Amino acid sequence: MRRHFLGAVALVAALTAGAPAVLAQPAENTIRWFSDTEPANMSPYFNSTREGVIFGFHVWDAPLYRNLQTGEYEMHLAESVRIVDDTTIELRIRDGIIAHNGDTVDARDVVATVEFALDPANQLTNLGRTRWLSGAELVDNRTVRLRTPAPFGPWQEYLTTLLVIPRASLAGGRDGMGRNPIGTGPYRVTEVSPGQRIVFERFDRYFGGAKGQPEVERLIFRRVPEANTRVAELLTGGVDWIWRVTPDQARNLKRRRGVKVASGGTVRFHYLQMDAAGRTGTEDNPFRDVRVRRAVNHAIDREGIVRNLVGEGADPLHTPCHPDQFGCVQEGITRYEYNPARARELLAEAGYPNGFTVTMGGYRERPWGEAIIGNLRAVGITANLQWSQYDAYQRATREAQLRLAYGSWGSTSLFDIANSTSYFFRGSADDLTRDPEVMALLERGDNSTDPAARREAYTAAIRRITEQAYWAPLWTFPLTYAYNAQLEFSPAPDEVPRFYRARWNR
Amino acid sequence: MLRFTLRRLLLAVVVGIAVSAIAFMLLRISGDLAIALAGEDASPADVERIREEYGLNRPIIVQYGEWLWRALQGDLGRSLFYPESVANLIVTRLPVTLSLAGMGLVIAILIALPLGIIAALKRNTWVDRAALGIAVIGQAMPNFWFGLLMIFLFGLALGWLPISGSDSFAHFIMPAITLGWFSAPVLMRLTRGGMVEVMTSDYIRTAYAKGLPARVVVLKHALRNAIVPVVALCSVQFGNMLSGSVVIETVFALQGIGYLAWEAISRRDFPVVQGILLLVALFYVVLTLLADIANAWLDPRIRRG
Repeated sequence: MRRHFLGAVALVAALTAGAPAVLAQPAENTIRWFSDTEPANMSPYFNSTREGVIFGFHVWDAPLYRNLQTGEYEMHLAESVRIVDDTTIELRIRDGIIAHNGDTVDARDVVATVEFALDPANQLTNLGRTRWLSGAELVDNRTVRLRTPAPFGPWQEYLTTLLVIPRASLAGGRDGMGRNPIGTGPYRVTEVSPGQRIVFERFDRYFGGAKGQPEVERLIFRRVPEANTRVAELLTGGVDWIWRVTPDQARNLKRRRGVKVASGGTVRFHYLQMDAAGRTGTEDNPFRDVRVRRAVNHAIDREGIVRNLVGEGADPLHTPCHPDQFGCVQEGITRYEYNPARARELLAEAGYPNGFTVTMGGYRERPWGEAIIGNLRAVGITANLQWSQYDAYQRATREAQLRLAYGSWGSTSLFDIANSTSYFFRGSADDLTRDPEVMALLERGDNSTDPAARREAYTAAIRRITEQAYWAPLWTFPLTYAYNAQLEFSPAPDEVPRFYRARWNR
Repeated sequence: MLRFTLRRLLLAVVVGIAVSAIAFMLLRISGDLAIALAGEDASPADVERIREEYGLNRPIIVQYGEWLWRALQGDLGRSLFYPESVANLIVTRLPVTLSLAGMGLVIAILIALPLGIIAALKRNTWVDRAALGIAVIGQAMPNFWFGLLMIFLFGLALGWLPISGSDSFAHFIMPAITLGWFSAPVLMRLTRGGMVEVMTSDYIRTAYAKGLPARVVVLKHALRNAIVPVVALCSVQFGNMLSGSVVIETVFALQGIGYLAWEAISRRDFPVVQGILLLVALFYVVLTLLADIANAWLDPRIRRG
């Protein structure tokens, strides 16, 4: 059905190529943006959607901010940060931070946020922002000490996601925060009409910090689930900004006057996981054999699939992490070029001259998965696709029901392999490899606060993973945006558009 | 009649509970609510913490029993994702779906009745075949495709109608036509079949023999009898429109019950799914009841039992 939809939008865009250009509406200094998903709860601690991450960046603030141009961490809510000991980080919060309800925000709000998040009674659903912490202690009204259960290497990266919720808002709990979100960020939420619209107004008392002062006065978000409808709205001036534009839509939109199309990278990547540990059973499990895993890697035409299907902005991937992430070394790794003949040789050497049959789980970007299946079939591996919702897919991999899993990982937009490679190779239920050497190396990297020591440990881990071909990394995930050409907007490389940096050219 | 109505309502409750039990089990067997709640970037440890905090590690039968006990007391619970009660979510979305289905049904009837009557009166002529052709096209064309064609023509090319949303009456025109167009063929064929049968009856011949004008014979004597099964079907179609408008709501970004149901099923937000199921079961019972009453009014033989 989706393919028919995509065909339809191509048709619509092509047939209307001569129609009037979109109507620019910068006069109201408002950006209307449509997306396919709407966070059910506005609070960043009670939703895990990408749109929720974007709301988080616009309505709330964290102690640190990652400068996407330099890669450096800049002070934001915090005016200074220091390591007290291996498990204690001290933050000094800026003076004069005002919340959207007029309250003053200081270190007490940081403590309250951490305590709220760590209390099981509050039933958080997004635990990623605080799972690395064990507590917070107030030193004085401007100073707070954060505790970690063990030395934690990527603490700076995680301090960019620790969004501070004003105490008055925390008192409302899950539902209160969802209905009436209060933050400190560049935009305050003035209307939450689930399913209808969410309106954000520029917060004139915003302190600025590393984000700076926003120019656009108002943001209006609306969920429009159907991609073709979003494109039609863009073409008729009903919306100013859309994303997740497919390659064929992008090709047609580029021909339109008044519409700008831009592609950007993300920290998301796609991969194939293989049950090297034999969790699904060791008997007749081809993926126990490194030659089979290498054959799978040689069988996949990454360049071809990227060029023909994935689209602009994507790159073939050879590591179990995104190259932009800290520790994701590209030097000295084992790369597997597309070589079906070599794949067949390796399979024959491993005792599978006629290939084998396996079930491959998947849950998103199905056409790309089908292309992989075609590549595997060409070398004799018959992969039967088991397509499901994300939770069913994840349960199947965690409960060792899948030998081959086609997945995607967004790293929560964090630029550190502690949130990618370590996630998949440190012995958790998602680890289909269970290599003690890799686990030890990653643990060493994650638990060190010395960047050089971390890099050294991660380098060894990545080299070992690629040499053993535990995964078949596939490609980085591109994101294509289409927007009113009068809007000055730059795609960010972390899947989080910064509307507070956008402005209208009038 | 009161006893009949009460029996129907009781049946609705029983059907609702049975359907909700099956839906609950299917939802829980086919996926993992804790993973859905935690989101895509959550670690296995996060998922386990959520499973424990939300009591999802308890036996399924206990979880269902808890929900059922509250539901029987009139409390449908709270959404696991939205900061709202299930009742509130349904109440805010229902007007959109009711408006859409109501307009869709009116459009379906406006298309189906005249075409069905004309096709029957001009049986086996090109008019009949053209009407049947329209019916075939209406049923064969997927409604999402028809909806996109509508967007292309009236939204994009002509710019007459708003493309998505539910802010005004104009926003409902394209979705309602799409919905009505898809439902019209079955009503039209039934109207045509009923009219063909009735028009060969003795009392119609008698009516003509008495010298009554054709308009009176067709609209007063023939249609009144031919329409009885159409009324029953209309109630079923309206129920289908209420519960099955998810594709239309998706294409036109209408935030109604259909889309809410789809979203809740995808997320395994079981209190919302259960609430909607109960509502849909209730719809069908009420609509069937209304159809029975309407038929009894139209046909005295039904009244006399």
